[in-house]
Amino acid sequence: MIVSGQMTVASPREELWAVLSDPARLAQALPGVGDISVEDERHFSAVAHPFTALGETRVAMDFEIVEARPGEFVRIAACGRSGENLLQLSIALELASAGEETQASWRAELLLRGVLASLLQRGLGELLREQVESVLAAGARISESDRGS
Amino acid sequence: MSTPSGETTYYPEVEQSERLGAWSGKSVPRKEDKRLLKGQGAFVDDLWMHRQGYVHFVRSPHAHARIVSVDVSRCEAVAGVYATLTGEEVGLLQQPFFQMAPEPAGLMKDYCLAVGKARYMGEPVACVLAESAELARDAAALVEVVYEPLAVVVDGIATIEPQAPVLHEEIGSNVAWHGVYDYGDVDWALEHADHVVRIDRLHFHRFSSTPLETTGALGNWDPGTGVVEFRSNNQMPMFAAMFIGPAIGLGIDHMQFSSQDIGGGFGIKITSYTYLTALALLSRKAGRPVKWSESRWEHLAASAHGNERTFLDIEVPVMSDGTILGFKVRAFDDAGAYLRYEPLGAVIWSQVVPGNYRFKHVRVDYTETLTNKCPVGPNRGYSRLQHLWLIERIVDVVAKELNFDRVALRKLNYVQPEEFPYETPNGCIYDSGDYPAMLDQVLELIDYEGARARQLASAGSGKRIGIGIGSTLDSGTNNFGQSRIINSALPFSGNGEAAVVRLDLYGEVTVTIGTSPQGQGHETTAAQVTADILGCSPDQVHVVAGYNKAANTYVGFSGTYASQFAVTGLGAVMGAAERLRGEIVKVGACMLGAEESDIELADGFVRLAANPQAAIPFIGIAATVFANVAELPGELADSVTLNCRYVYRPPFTVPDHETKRGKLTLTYASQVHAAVVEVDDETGQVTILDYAAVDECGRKVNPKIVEGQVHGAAAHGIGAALYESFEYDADGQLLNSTFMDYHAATSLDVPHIRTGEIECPSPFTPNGAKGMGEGGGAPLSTIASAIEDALPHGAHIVYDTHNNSERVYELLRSAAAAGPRGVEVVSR
Repeated sequence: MIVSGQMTVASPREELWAVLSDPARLAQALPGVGDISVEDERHFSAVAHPFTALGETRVAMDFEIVEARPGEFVRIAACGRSGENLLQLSIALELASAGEETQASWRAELLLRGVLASLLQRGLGELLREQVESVLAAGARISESDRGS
Repeated sequence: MSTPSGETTYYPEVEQSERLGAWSGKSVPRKEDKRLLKGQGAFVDDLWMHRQGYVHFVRSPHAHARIVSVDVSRCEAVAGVYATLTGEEVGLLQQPFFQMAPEPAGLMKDYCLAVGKARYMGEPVACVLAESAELARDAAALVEVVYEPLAVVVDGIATIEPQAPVLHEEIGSNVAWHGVYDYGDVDWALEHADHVVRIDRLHFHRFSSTPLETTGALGNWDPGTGVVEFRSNNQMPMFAAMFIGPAIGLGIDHMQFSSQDIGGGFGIKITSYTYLTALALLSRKAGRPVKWSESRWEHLAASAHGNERTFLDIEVPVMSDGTILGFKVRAFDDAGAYLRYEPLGAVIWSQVVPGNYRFKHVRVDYTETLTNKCPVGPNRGYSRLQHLWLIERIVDVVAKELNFDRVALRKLNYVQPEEFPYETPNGCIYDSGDYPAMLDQVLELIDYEGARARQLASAGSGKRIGIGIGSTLDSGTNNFGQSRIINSALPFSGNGEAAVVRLDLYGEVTVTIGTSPQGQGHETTAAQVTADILGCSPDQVHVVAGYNKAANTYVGFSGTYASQFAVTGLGAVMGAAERLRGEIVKVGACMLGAEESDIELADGFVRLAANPQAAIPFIGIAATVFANVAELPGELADSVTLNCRYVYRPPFTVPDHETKRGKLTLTYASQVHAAVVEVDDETGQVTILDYAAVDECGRKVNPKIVEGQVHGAAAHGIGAALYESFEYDADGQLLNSTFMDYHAATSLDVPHIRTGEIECPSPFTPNGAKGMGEGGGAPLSTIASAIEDALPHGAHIVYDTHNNSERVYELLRSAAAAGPRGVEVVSR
């Protein structure tokens, strides 16, 4: 499944970039994710809890910042497993300055296998969109908070 | 079957017991219901063994993938995890399961866990045993399986193309079986017919059963005795034993099967032997009992599905008066990833080659294929309902294309009541029936003329009315010799069932049978016939609940499947009860100083017919034989046990492998259903306005139980026709593996079902009964027929068994599109 979108984020591009390219702070921005463990500057792991109509499912995920052009582009790959479920995600994010804000364009490719694919089939695109937009919004909040401190 | 002189040889007519009647034929309340309604049944999940662990299967998320590695180290490190079992270990511990297919498909290596490759989404690749079900599930998430995804094939026809990925390299292709069934002379018929109706493609969709109780078992490999105990809900334990024993080196006497209550089977619990094998190996490894209860998604994704079948290039020769001479067709049956009961489906359909009709010329070019989908298993009406749906579609399409009245066309072509016993083109013998009378009755039940008037009145209202008819058969009591038609080397033929009826010390009558009931009311009907024969009340007869291999008698074909209990199961009970009756009469005559011919059994007493006051209760007979035996003459004492076993054996011979002819089943229950539906012109939504079923199953032992099974089979078929369909995407992912998306029909979806009654006793069974309960898939034909009747002129024919709103919407729009209709007629 491929989902793409655009969003204006109320944060300067450089500050948003600083969050998105830092595994430790990026992990904090991921909604519904816990047990974060940062391995190095490109790798971290976490446990996601995607909510389905039948409850939460625990998915252990490994993230890698595969490609980065400072301030303007980042591509993150993620791979997750949960029993008989398999999740592979690749998301590319482009940032452009729009005054004091940032224009973010993104494109995500998601492969889901197992019962989760069945449970989430109708809402998967929207769920992914929500996740990405939540990350960007959280990134803006974190950068604002960094500024404040 | 015809003799060289051309004469048909039927089965010998069976003398039917004169003793049946006081209780048989009555709607005696079910003995089982007291415990079931009070929540006192014992199902698999109610069972428990000391030290038992709980099993969770790790399943493949891929439909086709090489298994690169399975790492259980993190899982095994979790406190409370007892053991794990992987495919790699299974490859060493298990021989591949016995295959019924001839080579090359017979070379298939099928194991209880995936070895080397996973071939369908949900296939078990490892299993984990832990102190709780929750811990087993959580720990299973720590099993790291590295897969290398492979190309996937899900189309049952495209899978035989050279470019399709091969599932089983040892076979070399995805063809599981191919053969041509050719009866009569279809080429002659096509050449001489006044019309030939050609249908491009019909598709019978993939669905299954959704029993309240999913598959499960409690298994224990006793290290001391080497005996493996399976407390399971497998519905054909001796069949399971034939697969498990050779696979893991167990003799039949080292496998102990038991079940008490089973919450529905419908055939799909026959193939649970793969899971039982895994549980046995895991129990041996862990040294403790193991318990597994399948989750609903596991059941839907990886238990067993019904056979999906596509029919291509159908040609139907028809005479100008409406006589249909037969048909020819290419059939492709999609068996999924493994042959767990297949390729028996490649022959089972031929029990009903001409359906309810007098077709003489039939050619079916049959191919069974393998795809990356859940393996199929028998599913209520197994393999026959696909073929019967094809035939009913043929009849409706012929009627529509050649402007025949559907009712009149059926009556013209039906096997007529005076033609029974009727020999089909492949040598099967239909025992009895009256299809025209059933049709009349079902049309009366739906007020056919009134429905036609409503149909006319509804024109232009946006609500289209359609009336459908489905005529099907439920062939029961299989001759397992038909397996030799698909593989002449298979060592199976005939059929049988065993029962013991005994009189115990305190005069209790006890019955044990080799069957494993799943809701069919065996305890009740067995008590009814026993009571009739022994002259007592069913309340005085204790039928041991469920099945226990150590305690119940059994034969190789024991189990509950294929619409046969009323014949084989009750045939065995009746035989055993008659033997016991003979012994009771002998002892009673001796004790009363009378001739055996002077004795009668009534009200639980042995008495003189001429002087009922001279009577001995059953306890007196039993107490004498068991505890006061010196009172009896030695010769008499030596000749009675009051513990009588009987094996009922239907009079089958071995079918012919070359000609594919033979007597494949003993009885033919029949169903004629009718429905009135309303189709919303705008949305394609189908609403059933009226539904009626006339089922004929010979002499009914318990009419209320029959009625229940008619309702169940009708609901099952209606669900499949409108709501239930397994949908896979191109990657082999099952898109509806929960009840959120796989909508099993509920009481909200199923209309009130009116039922009718016709009784045509079978001349070939000891009680005149015929096996029933599978319903022949009549609703699938009926609903398709009704939808087609509602479609506008020029619409595409109804080409699928499953017609949800989307598909009906497309059919409605196809009339305006004026494209191909999927049918053409060539007239001479």
